[in-house]
Amino acid sequence: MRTKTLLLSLVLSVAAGLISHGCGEGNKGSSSTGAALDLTGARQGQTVGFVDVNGDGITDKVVGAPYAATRSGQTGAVLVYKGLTTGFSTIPTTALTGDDNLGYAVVNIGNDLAVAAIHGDGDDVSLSGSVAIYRGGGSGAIVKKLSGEWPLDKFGVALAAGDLNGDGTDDLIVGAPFNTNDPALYQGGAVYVFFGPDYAAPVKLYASAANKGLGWAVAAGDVNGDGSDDLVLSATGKVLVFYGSSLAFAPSINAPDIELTSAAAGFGKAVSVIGNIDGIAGGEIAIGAPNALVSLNTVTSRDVGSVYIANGSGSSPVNLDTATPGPSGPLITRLNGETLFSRFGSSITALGDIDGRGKPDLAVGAPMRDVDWNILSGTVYVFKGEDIAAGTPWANSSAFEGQVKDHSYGTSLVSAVLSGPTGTMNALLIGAPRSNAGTGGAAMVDPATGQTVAGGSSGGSTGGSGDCH
Amino acid sequence: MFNTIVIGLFLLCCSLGFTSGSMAQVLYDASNFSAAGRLLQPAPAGHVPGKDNGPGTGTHNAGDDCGVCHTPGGKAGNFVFTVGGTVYEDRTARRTLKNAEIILQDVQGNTISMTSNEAGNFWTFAELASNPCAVSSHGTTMDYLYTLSNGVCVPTVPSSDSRTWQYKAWVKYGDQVRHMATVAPIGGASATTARMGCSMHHAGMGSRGGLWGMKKDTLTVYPASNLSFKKHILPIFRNKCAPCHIPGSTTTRIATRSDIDPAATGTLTTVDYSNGQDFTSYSGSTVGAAVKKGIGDFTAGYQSDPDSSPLLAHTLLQSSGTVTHGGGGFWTTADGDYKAIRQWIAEGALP
Repeated sequence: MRTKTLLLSLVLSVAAGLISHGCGEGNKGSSSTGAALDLTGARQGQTVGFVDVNGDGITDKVVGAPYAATRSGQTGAVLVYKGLTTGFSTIPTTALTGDDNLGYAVVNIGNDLAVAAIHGDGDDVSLSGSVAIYRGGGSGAIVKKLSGEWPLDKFGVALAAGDLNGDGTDDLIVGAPFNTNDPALYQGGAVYVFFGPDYAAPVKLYASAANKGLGWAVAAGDVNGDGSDDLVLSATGKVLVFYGSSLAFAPSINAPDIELTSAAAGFGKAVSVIGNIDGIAGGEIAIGAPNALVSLNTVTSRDVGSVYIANGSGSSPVNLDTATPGPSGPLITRLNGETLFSRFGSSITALGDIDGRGKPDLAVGAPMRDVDWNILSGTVYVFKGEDIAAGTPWANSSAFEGQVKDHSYGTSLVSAVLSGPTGTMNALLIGAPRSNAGTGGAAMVDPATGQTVAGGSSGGSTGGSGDCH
Repeated sequence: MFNTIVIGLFLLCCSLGFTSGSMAQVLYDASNFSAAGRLLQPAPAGHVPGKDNGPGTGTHNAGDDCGVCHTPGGKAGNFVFTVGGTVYEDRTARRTLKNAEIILQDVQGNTISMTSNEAGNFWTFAELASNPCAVSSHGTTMDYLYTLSNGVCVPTVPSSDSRTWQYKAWVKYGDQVRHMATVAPIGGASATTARMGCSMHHAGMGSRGGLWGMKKDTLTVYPASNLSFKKHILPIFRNKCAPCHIPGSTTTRIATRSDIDPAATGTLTTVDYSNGQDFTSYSGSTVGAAVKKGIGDFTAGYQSDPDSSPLLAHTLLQSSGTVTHGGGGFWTTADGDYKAIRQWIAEGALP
């Protein structure tokens, strides 16, 4: 039976957002560049992350605000909330600013943080999109800046990291869904792999006639159990997996090691490698299809959404629509959303084994789900790996619900294990960028217990938590 | 009604350039509601801006396709929009734009006006007139929604069929007006209940880029000299020209009898909205039968007189309101984008 958890601290952050117009003008946070921010319509929570920005050994909270406005005319910021021994700062302690729409996506690369600015610039190109890699502990120091190849490629819409070449250093994967490498495949998209630690000479995967629509979703993880991370990426109607290799990672877009297909609408808009559920070496692949048609009470309803969990077995291509779910795969299970237009599967994140039953668990966002009378408030579901393996994925699942209209709770997700004076705790950071006319915010819970984290929630025109700051 | 396979890719919409407000008005009627008629025309005037704004606050989900929910049978089926969308400052969709006016005019000359709110959103419940000579085309299918009786169109679907609700559209911001071309009908190719969500294609993550309204330079700063094609010039063309001037087939969407039946008007009015030009690259492209010139093809011979290059002369906003570019004007000689292109041509227009 699924449990339903109410978040009291979340209510506080929402209240702060609703009354933010009475709290003075502009943003009270500071920026590493000294530029003040206007967070109205900033979409805080478009992406979320954890990293130790200031090098004090305590993880900080990171919230992307890609439509924040700076006084100097730039757009986009990343709000950093300093980690404390008990939670997080209630107001942004640092704001990273830079290229336009900075903060659209973030991902950890080891101890560093990669941040996408989807209209950023490169040395020889403008508006291509860029990704800045901030050194963990470097207090905002940029150690590398990468860019797309052509203007309006929207390089950085999707980010992931993993050690694909087995050298012990994570590599950065970047999606550029509007790249055009071949005029016949206009805006067919591209995926780039930049190898750490220097991120030079990337592998480039361009759209082909067989595989286009690249760059919208990417992930990395060890799917085949050989110890190297593998590259997972979405294409139109497909998810492709390319095995990593310590010899040479040189994938060809038309020769994936695994090809998973589905006709479900939006198949592949979110992908994640979630760990070993089936007991066979290697992690499973979770694939979101948030626009999928699902029959609810015998009525076929659109945008309900689904999540496919596959183990990569079988002869490619594997059609997951016709596969029979079972513990041996190739399809372990298909999870469907609960309500019309909930867009279940818009976001997915691995949680690790939070219930201690031996299998990895996962969180799934349904950011357009209505909660009571609050339309589009959104819901985040937590599923337990042990129950997925047993074929009863909803058995001990739990749901964390948005609290206000248009909250879009669960648009983005990221998890971490945080250390504190009383030990460690699991933390799930949840982005909700649409609340308050797109001003947005974020919330944090322990996905195992539902407990909130001090300073975990933030948003509104101040970017803070609680009442006016 | 019958189905016909249509060869080629039809654009849903093309977001084009600006005009000033001084051109004489041309109201729609059956004679000009065709592919050619949907090229540059001045916007309707004399109405109250925002007179047809839909009720409610509507600050949610900027940039999403409104037609997904606000359609009959949709999640917001009790609040069915005729048209809805989001306006941005420019096509890159870096920022949304408040107080832009979105103007529609239907086949009977009725004007509908909406204004964008603080989230950039606009929507209306206003009805549009049904075109009795409508053709529904999308992708590879085409449905004639009329039969001919003594040369007169006799609709085969009721006037409530949203596929016959056709319109011309403009985006106005301040004293600038930008018009749209090859606009799709309210309904889709086969779904008679569908409604038009502009953001399906015209949004930050849409294939045509943001629906935009502000006349502003593409880049904040340009150097005075030594301009780079990739860093300074191509972004301008990708920002302002790419909706139409792209690789592949850009033949207008067939929307009405006069597009396909020369007997109706005496002229076959199918139009290539790119005019054989691909401005996503320096050297153009060849995709199947679509052979297109590139940006560099319009610079040779103009180094000593860059203002005369068609890239600039054809797209210049004239004080008289006269514009020769079918997609409208983009800039004055004082604008940064104009001056950057001018300088680049003067420096030899290198790729």
